[in-house]
Amino acid sequence: MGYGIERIGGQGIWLSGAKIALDGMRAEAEWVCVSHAHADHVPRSRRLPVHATPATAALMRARGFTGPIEAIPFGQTFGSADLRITFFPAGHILGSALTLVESEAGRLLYTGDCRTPASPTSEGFDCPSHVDELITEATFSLPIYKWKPHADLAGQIATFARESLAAGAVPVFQAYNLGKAQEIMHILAQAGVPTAIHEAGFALCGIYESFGIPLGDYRKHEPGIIDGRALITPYPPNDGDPGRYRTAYVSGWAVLEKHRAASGADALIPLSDHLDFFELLALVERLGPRLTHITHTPNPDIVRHYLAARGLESRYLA
Amino acid sequence: MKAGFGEFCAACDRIRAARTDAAKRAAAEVFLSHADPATGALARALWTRGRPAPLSPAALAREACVWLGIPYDPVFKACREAVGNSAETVRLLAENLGCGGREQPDLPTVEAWLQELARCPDAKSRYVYLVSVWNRLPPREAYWFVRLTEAGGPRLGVAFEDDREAGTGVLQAVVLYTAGAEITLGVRAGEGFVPIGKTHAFPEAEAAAVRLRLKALQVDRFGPTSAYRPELVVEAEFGHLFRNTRTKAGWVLKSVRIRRILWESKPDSVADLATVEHLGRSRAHHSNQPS
Repeated sequence: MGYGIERIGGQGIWLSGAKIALDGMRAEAEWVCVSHAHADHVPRSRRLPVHATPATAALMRARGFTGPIEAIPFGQTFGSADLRITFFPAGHILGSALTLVESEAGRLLYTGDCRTPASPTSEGFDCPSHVDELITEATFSLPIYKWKPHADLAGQIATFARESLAAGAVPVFQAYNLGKAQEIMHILAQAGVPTAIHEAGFALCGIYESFGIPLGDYRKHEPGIIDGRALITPYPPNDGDPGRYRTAYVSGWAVLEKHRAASGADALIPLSDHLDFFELLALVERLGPRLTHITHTPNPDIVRHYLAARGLESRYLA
Repeated sequence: MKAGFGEFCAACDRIRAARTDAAKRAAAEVFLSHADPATGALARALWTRGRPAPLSPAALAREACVWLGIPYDPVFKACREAVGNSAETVRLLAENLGCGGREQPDLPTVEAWLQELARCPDAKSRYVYLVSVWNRLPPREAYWFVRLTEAGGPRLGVAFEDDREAGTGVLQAVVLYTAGAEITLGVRAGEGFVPIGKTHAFPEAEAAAVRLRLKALQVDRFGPTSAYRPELVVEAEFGHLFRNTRTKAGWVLKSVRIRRILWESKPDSVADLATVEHLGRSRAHHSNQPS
């Protein structure tokens, strides 16, 4: 008997053979596991009983999830007599988890979103040594995506902030409120640059700190107050005085020159929360699955082409 | 610091990233201040001039796939779709797959290569020559080499105050559209106006006043693009005037810079298509030839 893997609403995965919903919802599900607290991976119903890591649980609560959350630490197994579920740190954001499901049907790993080498503001990255089946995201699924070393990118962020401040401008980092924002704060804290963060991101910073991740000197951004801090916000400030801001677009997509015009940013800093193409291939090779299911990509054929060249069978989980 | 082709390409990257005319010029000046006079003059010419394009993006993509050792379909095709153009796709793939050479020629050597490429008798020999250049240069330098072969030059939007070489022309135009930083200028055609060229900045001293005026003239919006009543007249300086049968005007201005805003001028003082045609034909003997 297999796991009966299929896609459900939006980003979710349904294992009909094991009655497990991953990052999604089915009425007959016995377990609902949430890999991390980004909105596209949290089930639409906010009152559902779910399983998640302690940090993901805290972040989900802060973002308005009201259902019962069973907080399961990394490495601790739950499930039933013939079904074991374990979370491994995924390195994507704080709390993000790889989900390992073990049963008679074999060892199945679901990556959620992951990143290795891990984000310094996550719990690191760790995975089982071998799995039978792998369900993996492939957001950056083209060989044009290869990340620079993290130290280089952190250097770019610190330099951009310092140079902008020295020129009398406000450095603005355009980044998502959960994950990327805190990683930039962490990098700027090490560089000694104080920050102001958009209120939706501000609400999550305390959770990062309670899990032992220093974010330095920061406060909530109040429109109109400019006091030598770098600003971190998901969209550029629109207060009628664009001249005083210098904007950096911080995302894996910033590899592409076209985003310079599209984002209107002064600098493109390609720091990503995801695997690059080559890291993805290396991860699949390391796990050595009998079958890889590829999701979250418009270009599954390219990954499949390269996996096939390595003797790894794969399919697109459409 | 040396002022070789590597430094020239680094300057190209910085000019492209700069958002204002002044910042673009400043980035260019950093390179020019380290270059000897001959190299400096050559760099300015490469930044601002155009020449007939010897390469086609489609053929370039085909040759690049053979060179990079990847299939066109599915790999290169999907990559180019994400990137938007062949030259930059080749740059990223060459960097990531570890292709290309390590040579660091000086600028005159690269100019000689460009001329040698233009002299190749047929398409086949041009691409053989291009691959030999790809094998010698690192990916960034190889990318800018390709961009320098494009009609209209690398289109970095850098212009120099004292650049008054034979190729530079001037005409009056109106502002038709803006989209982000991009400004579309138009000339008269019968009762209406047609686009003639694009540029990226208004003179900095007048930018605020221009914004106010355009707000009053705005008649329509299409996503990021705003359309205006054709009443704001500008004096536009351009590096080249090319025949282009795929535009309504039939001609297109390249390396355009708005020199000043003609606040007092009426739209009927703007150049019409006959003037453009005359300008284009009279300039054809120098601006369309390789130098």
